[in-house]
Amino acid sequence: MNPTRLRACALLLSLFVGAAQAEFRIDIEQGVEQGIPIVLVAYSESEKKLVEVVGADLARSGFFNVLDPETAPQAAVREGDLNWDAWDGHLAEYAVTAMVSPGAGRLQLDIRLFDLLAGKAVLARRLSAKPKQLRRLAHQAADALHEQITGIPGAFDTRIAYIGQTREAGRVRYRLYVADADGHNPIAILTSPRPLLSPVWSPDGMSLAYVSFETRRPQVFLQNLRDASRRALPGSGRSSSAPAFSPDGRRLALAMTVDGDMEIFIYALDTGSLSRFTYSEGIDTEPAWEAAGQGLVFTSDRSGKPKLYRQGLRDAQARMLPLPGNYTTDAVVSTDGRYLAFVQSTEAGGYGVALFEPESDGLFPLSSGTLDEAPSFAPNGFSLIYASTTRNGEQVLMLASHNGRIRQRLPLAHSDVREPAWSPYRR
Amino acid sequence: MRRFFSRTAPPLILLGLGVVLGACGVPEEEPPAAVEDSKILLEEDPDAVEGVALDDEGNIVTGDLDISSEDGSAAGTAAGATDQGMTIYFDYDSTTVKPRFAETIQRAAAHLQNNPAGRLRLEGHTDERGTRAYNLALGERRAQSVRDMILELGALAEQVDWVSYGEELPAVTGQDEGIWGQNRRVEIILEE
Repeated sequence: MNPTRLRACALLLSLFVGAAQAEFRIDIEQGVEQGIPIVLVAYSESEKKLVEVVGADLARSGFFNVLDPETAPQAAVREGDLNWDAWDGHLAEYAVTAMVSPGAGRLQLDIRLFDLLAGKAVLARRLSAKPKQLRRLAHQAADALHEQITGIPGAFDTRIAYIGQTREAGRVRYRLYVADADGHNPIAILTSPRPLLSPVWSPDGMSLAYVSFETRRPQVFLQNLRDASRRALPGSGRSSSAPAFSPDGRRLALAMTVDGDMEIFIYALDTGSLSRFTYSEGIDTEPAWEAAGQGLVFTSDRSGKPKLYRQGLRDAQARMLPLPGNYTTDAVVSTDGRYLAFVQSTEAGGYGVALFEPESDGLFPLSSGTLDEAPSFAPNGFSLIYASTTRNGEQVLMLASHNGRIRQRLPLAHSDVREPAWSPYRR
Repeated sequence: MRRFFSRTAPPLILLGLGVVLGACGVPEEEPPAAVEDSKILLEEDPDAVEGVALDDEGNIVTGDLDISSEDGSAAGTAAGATDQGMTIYFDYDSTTVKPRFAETIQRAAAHLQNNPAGRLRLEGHTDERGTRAYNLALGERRAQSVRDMILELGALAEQVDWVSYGEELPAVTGQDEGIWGQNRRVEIILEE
């Protein structure tokens, strides 16, 4: 086994054990020191710009310690290869070179990864994009580097959806935004004078379901991102909320009220048929599909307190998840099914995001804020985005690595943002 | 833990650390800026902010609770004309209507009984604590608690509409119990 990778594995393992011991209060400045040291080399202005984006991506993942490019040796490369002698004794385990060149009307990027311990190049990839898509190129490069080094696909060339609220000329405006995963290029795809919430991506990444109050009741809408067509589900006139796509994208779980009781229903998107899933006295809402689509995890207050339950599609009974506390809600399942992220009340009287590993019954608190909520997994299952409220009441989006080492505010051009949803991989 | 190892270091990649110089993965691009073409601006409806207009502080302006102007003979007590008069407040995570609001409920029920064509809209709200979809359910429960009591007093089911806004439209913004307590509420809104 390659010694570097063995080290990386050992590092990951130790991080994971660290997570189990609830060592979570690590700022990004401290946390990165334990990551795999990597340095990105750039010469031209466009290369520097690109490398900055790649470095920020890698640092956010929680796996890397991205070193200052200034630490790279003066003569880092020579005749298309790494100038190996100049790197002797360098702190980094990996070096990356990026060469940006304008191709035939397109931007071309040649990215190369060098394993400094093994003394060889381990990846060379050529990527191209339209001239204005330098950032997208950078995210794709970061994805390739992340996968080559950790064995886990990166999720940088993806998008997020979220809700923003502003006041304009005395009137409140709610917007549904779609932006790059690092918060850049936000586009408001829906603007409404009434509240919006709970956006979720369809598994093909082509549409979003969300709740809109435009009819003066909460109602789930499905909006196509390509042609902007939208429709109310399961039909107009009834309240519905908390949409969740099945992994195959053919069904939507949602909450609706019958006989004064909120229950979970499953709506078949192709046939329009609606079937009831829960039959309990009390609130049942916030459904989340298991990775293989064989069951749902949801919030219910049937015990008197809001707690998470699991119920198979063919089961008549739900089983309460073995989680402590009186308030565990809003679960989401990672695409590989390994983790469940949810919101729990904290001893300090606030709300935090935590991870639960069903296989081991392991519980790993990730955050502990006043109002942390709405966790959503990156499609690789190793990063999360969630909403948080700062001490002065500002609503922000936070990124966290699964191991709890990196917790970082997502830089966004606007404030008062919430309800983040991470997209699937682009197709 | 063993599982974590195998996931982070797939054997193929462990073995396959060879030089891949020149291997060119050229990703196919999506059609340009797909989402850019799909912006939607919902029409501004003059009625849209009825009952939920916000002042400069972000507080809800509840000018629509003026019962005395609704019908002087029915519920036109002086107290009924105040904002507080037709709002019912709740404890944290509770849907139980406290006894001190019995008079408010009686007043609303009497208004409906004296005005067969009268309609009420109950808007359930929660404080900001807890998750939004769950709070939507909680606000609905609160509105239903109030509705059930009004119906028990003789109003007709078709006279009472209800909706939950969850935590989306706080009466007051801020982060302490005094503020949260003002947001855990059901607003009783008389409709023409």
